[in-house]
Amino acid sequence: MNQEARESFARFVAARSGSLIRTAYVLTGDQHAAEDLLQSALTRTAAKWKGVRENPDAYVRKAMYHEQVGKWRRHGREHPAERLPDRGADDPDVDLRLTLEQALLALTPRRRMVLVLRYYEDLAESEVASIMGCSVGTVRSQTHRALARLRELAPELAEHLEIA
Amino acid sequence: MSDEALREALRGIADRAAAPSPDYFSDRALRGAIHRRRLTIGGTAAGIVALVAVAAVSSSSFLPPAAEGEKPAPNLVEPANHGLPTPKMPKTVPAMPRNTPEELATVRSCLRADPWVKGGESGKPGYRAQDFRLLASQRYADGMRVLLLGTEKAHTVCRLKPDGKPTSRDLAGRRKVVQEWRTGPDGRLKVIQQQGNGLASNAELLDGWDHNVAGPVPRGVTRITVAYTVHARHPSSPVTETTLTAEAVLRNGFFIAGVPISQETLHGAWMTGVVTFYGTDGDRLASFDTGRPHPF
Repeated sequence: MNQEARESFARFVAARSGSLIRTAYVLTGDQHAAEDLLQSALTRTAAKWKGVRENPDAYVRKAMYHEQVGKWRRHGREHPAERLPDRGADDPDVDLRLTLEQALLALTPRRRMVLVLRYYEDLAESEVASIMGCSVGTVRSQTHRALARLRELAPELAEHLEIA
Repeated sequence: MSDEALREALRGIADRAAAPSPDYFSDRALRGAIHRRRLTIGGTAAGIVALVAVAAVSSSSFLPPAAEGEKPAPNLVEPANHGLPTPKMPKTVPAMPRNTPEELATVRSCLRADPWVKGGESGKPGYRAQDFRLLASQRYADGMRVLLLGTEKAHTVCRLKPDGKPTSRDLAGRRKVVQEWRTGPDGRLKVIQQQGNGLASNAELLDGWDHNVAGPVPRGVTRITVAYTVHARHPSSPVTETTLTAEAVLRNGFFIAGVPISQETLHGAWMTGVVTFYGTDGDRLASFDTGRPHPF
């Protein structure tokens, strides 16, 4: 990598790392794990900089998703809580929002990922399928299962998760 | 709510991410890319001689000497620790201290029920509320206390208001979330960092915001300080760029140091911190930047 390429890569990271760490955090739910995930994706991006510099943001995001899927496959399913702990905030809206956030973090990485791609990144089902390496039908079924799991984890959310 | 609620919740989670140090990410990515390239080249090289030669070429192409009259390359691999080594954290969690009844009551103020263990199994020995001990605490100028609570398996940080009740940030759920002690690639324990994030969707509804660092005290360290630099998030932010410093409290083989932050700072600034470790003679032994991923 030459000097100009190194500088353009550094500029890209300076401009985009704030947004990318947020995506990494949504995927992992943990600051350290998010930093590790982003670091790994950026390292892959730097290695392929010549070929991806036209649209590096998409490459980094895809690398993060693949890394997360790989971890999920290597380490197997997580065993999140069967039921979330009771909440205690005074404000019902805050209470509900915190409950939903906690329920999202309790999903398995793959289920969380499909919701992140669909509802955080606002990607089309076909784009989600491309990133996750599966069919559109699988994206739909994974989304359905993820939402069903959210309702199981926190039944009080059921009426608020009537998503088409 | 519906799908907008889901989007809001996902954004709420994303807002908890602490602002990273872009320099450090790019430095490490560039180093890692070279390492990957060396491995790839090494894997296909015919022999040791070829491997050494290719590695040498890779090094020289990454850091080319500046030609005469040429502007020197920016130092993209600037040291992260101000010329000091990173601290050698202990490999094992120090023995849990024997708390007084008052200290145990303080722990119960924060952990009213068995906590929810992030990535672990709640309710098991080592993770129950009754297993937690007060490891170290610091009182801020406004009377709020920040506490490091832990067992030999997990830890959490809790803040108590001057009246002894947990802040609303700590009471966001009846059960507090705790984390297992984590080690780095070298097998040493990581320093715990908490950074209040003003972009959180519920930030304005909660109190008890602070930045803090905590963890076991490395061998030979007798004093730890942290200095947070406040940077305005936007040019229009009503935030004065300043430095907030704190002297860590060292107790029971653990330390904790933090600074409370106002809602104004929370929303209008981002902060980077430098943690410095001192030896018995007052000499600086080690340091690391909190805005960077842990290098240890």
